[in-house]
Amino acid sequence: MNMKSSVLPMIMYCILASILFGCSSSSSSQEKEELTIWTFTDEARYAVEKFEERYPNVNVNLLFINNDNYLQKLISVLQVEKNVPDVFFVERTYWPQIRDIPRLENLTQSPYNAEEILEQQFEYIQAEEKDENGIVRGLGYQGTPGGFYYRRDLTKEFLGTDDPEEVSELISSWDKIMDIGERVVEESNGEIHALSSWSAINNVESSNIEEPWIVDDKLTIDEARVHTLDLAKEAREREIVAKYESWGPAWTASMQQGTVMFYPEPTWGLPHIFKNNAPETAGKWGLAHGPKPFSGGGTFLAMYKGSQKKDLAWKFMEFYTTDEEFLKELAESQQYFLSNKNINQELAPTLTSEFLGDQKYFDFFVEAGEQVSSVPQTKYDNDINSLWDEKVNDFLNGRLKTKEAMIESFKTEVGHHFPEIEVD
Amino acid sequence: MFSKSIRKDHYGYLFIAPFFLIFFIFGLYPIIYSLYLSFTDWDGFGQPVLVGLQNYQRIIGDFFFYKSLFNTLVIWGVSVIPQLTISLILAVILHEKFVKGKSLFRAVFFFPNIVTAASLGLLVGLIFSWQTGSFNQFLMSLGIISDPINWADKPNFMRGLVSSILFWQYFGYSMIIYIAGLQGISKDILEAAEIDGASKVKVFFNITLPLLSPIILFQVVTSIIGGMQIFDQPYTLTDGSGNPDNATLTSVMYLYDTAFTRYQYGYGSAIAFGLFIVIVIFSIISFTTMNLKTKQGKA
Repeated sequence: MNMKSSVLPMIMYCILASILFGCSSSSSSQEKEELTIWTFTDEARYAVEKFEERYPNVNVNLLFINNDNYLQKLISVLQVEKNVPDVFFVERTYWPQIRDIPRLENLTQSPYNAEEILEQQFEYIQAEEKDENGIVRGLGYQGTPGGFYYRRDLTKEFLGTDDPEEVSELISSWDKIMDIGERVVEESNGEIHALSSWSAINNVESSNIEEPWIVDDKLTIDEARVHTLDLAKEAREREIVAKYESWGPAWTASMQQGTVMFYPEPTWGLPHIFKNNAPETAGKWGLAHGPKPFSGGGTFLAMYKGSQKKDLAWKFMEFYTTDEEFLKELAESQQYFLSNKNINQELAPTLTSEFLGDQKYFDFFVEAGEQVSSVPQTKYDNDINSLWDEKVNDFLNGRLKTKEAMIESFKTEVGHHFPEIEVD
Repeated sequence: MFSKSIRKDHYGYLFIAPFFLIFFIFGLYPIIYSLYLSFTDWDGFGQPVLVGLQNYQRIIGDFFFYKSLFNTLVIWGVSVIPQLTISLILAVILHEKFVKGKSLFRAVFFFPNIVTAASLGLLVGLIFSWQTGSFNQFLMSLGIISDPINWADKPNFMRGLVSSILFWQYFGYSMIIYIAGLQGISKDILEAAEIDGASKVKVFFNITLPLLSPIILFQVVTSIIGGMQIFDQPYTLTDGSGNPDNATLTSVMYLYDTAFTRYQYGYGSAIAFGLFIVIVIFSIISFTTMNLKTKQGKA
């Protein structure tokens, strides 16, 4: 009995103590200001670290969520307006979907006056940062113009040169690329292809679209998309493309093995795709301009309208897009191409990449970035893009026999999934 | 010795309260709320707008709803028939007195059930991937094929693949339930049959099977309810697309896509209730047919 009576006070004491300790630890961090940020990319860690160094009284609560689940999580917190982060990263694929949600802070208004920041950025990014009414809803920190990454050993063997300018000249049109591809497949006995899949063509061509999928609530198929389809079909028939699915294991392996000659990818392909997947091929790569300028991906920072820490949130967004010292450090140490043209330009004459055989890649992308046009997108585009891609694959793999059948099947599915959209 | 009236303490309610509290909050409330949502049009922002029976009307003419239902039934049927028969045979064998290493086999057959469904889908997806999948590499090394086959492009094959995953995952579970049922059959009856000179096969069909029928009914009903909710395996196997040609798009995947990638919560809820009705119908059918059988058996 005695035992029993002493156990209860002890448990009570433990509970009480833990509560008190809990309180005391939170009271010590109260001196620091808390900022909550959600991200899907580990790039954020570097920026947050530097931000905390600069502002030691700020404690950033960074939540990393895998890209597969990120959009759903973000949209659900915005829907219920509970636990919404002060700042959140948004990838370009689903940025149009987020951008139109009326819970994002208007950054055009003072005290932000984001237009001033936009002026320093590439034009195509500026257009994407604004919603349909021209109000800035997010800031892009990344510059994403693209180029044709190529294996120098392969171009030397098959084209007789590995000089970026000469290679650019040789691949200045799809016709030329197709001819090269045909020859390469033949000479290598089917081992080597010019491109990895039809997505490579799409990477370039999808940047040249003039109309989004939905115009005035009506499904619109831009001519450029049909043109891409024709190119893809031709490329598949002439064996210009290997059948490696983008981001699949065969695709990444091909970089290391040197079975594909060209990869049209944006700036961030250098650290995130090539260095990551083929670290042993450093120095074997080059960058050339392809048939058309293009861009790919990108990340935007947005602020929650109901945030209690708007000052701090803005401080972070400003830091990530305009702070010269930080941005230079980011560009140099991470080989990171920025949305801020001024700083890119300043670094362009000096920054070279060992991975690209000491090519001046900032210089290359500064030039490429000026020519990129913005791609108009609606909140439907992400979903409809994946439907389209599926249908294109069905067509190329032969399950949908004709182009007409493919487009018909695509229209049916869009009309079905989005009854509010008019489809003819 | 006995007090006059039975003491009625209410403590019992306290003990069962946690379950009901949790059920009301996380089970019943969402069910009722989604019933309400199924009569609305709602994208998660703003207030749901009542639209009457519009969502249900849409379901009735919805080709994809029927297709997903068809896919689910095909995938379920192809997996559940071998699952319930093979596991029954295994259970009977492992219930025999003179089989060595019974517990080892029981454990090994049950292991697949412990593996997360999502990781199984991913794993099988990798094995059957087009260019680098080990299955294609294996066939090529044997010289059976010269070019890798794009398995993900073959509707019936992919359905079959999902069925095989489900079979592999659940046959051990069904087996354990059968074994439990077999242990409930009185040894006296079996021994009596043996003494009367009945063969093993006769014992199985005339004694074991009829006495197991409540267990079989349980298995059929739970597998219908579980089978109609197939989601993880096809979702991870096809990267959430339900391809090729929507052949592996199951009803719950369709529900998920509608509600959580296209944010049509109203229609998504209506699909959920459509599915609910289908499950109820199938459960009633299986209940009545099984009951008829047992009644006939008794008569």
